[in-house]
Amino acid sequence: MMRYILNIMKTACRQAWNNRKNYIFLSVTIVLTFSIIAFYMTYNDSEIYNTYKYTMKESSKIAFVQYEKNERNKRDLLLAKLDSLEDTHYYLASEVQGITLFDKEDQRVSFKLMAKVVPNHVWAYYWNSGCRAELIDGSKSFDLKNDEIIICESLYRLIKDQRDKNGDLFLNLSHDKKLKVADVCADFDAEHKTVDENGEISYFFYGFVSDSCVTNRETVNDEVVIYSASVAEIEAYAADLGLRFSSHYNEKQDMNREITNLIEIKKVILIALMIILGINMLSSFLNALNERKYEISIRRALGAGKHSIVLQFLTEGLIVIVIDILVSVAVVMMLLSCIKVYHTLVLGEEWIIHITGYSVTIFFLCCTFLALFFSILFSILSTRVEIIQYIKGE
Amino acid sequence: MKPIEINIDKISKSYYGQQVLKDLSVHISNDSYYAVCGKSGAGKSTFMNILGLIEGFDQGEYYFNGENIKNHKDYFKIRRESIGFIYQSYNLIPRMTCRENIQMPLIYANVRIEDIKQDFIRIVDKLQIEPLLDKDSSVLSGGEKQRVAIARALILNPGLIIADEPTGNLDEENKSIVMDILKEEHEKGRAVVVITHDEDVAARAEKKYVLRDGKLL
Repeated sequence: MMRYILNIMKTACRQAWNNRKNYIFLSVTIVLTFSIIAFYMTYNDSEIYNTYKYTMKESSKIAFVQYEKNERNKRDLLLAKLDSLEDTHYYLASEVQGITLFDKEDQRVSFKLMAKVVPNHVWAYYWNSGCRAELIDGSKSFDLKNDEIIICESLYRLIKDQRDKNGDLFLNLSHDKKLKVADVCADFDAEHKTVDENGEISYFFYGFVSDSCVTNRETVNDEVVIYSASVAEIEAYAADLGLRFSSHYNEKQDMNREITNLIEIKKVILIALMIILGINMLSSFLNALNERKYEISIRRALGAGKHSIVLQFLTEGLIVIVIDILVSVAVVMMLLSCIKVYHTLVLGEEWIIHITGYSVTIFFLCCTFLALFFSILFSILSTRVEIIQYIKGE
Repeated sequence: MKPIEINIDKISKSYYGQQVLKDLSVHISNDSYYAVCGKSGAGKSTFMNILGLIEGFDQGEYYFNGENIKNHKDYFKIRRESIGFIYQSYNLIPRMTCRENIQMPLIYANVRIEDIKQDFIRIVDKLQIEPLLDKDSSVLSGGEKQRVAIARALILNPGLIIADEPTGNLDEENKSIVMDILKEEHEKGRAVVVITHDEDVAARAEKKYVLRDGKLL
């Protein structure tokens, strides 16, 4: 039985190859069908991603509440509120801004440090809600002593050759403060650059220092860094206290709503596409079958049972469809690459090809459904061929 | 050689109210070599199709080796194992080589070519088609195509050969070759039924029937 089935399938493979010219028109239809479906889904995914890629990176559970030095009582009320909430963590931080590290006056370029003042061993370190700091060895915990600093990778690359005879690396701050580089964190904003009205360029680098390293007078932008599942509640409380609140919670909620709407629209359009393209594919399959009716009637006359014909044409149908699906995937990837090149070279903006697991799953399900449906239909219709109608007799 | 015992008793067949066969009866066995003649439209192809279990009939009885043939069933197995068809238009499958055309019935019978290799070589040698085996069937001449079709009909050693105007498209030389082959096959014990207009071809048969008014006379 296995040998019989294998022989029929080998026949199907040979016949699919022998009849490749007849299958070209069908293949064009199939490639077009699946390319349209795949392109629609992946282009949609990529457009959504490129529209929201920055928002996506932001965490909706991270919030920052800024307060002035004379608003500490309000800060304390906020901290009491945070303590009462479940699944909420926080720490106090501040910034030391714009310390000039060194400059090249002849080139009108200066290099400045933006440092966050943080406690050691907290739950996470965030520069902002989208930028989580991690050491380059993957560690997420900081252990800074007095006069130590953790600097970003791009700054490290600039000064790494300036080690002293003990092999230690120090960062000289322009106000005669010297900090030992304790560790390096990964860049999250590798080239933050500003150009002022006089054309002077400033490059900013990032770092973290411990709160024992700086005085109160040196710090600005005091803030409470919060992680919570109740961001909306904290925002309302901070607003009541008159404190400045920032988070990407609302943006992410808007983004999620919009993506959900787009997914619903996608489903409707996908169903409509499948119906329209399915009708097109049906007529192409019927044409392909018409070309083979003579062959089918000879095979039946010579003793092929209907099951053999079904197996042969089911196999042929599946071979053609699977090959065409692979071709359509290649076509779509090429199209997306062209769009990417267009955005990069012509529009001068980054455009990332992004494909979600949801789209891959839906495309796979569409392919499986259409492949099985049309292959089975093709094979069943092939058995309806009347032998005597197509055999060329007397 | 597979034994053949066919009893057709008062078969009738109509198309759209037009009676084609009426009360047709015939007995065919391994020692039968019949020619069936008749005018165009007499029903010769219909008779051939019913005999070859390709088409059903309206009334009557048909027994093939003791099995009562019913209209609603597809007797592809009997067709495959016991009947070899030879057509006027050869009916080779296009875009397949001659070898693939000849060996096609083996796939459906689940017979390995290795098991019948000697028979295959013998048929190929007798029909002198060895140089044609790997050619596309569509590039052959009429005589070559008919010899390939005969090889396909003989590959499973059927007990009955039904030939529908086997020499209709052939020149005299090839016609003679084909008739000689059919004679030889009959002498080996195969039943042969030839549908033909050609009196020369009919004369080679042992018995000539004329299909008239739906009956074999």
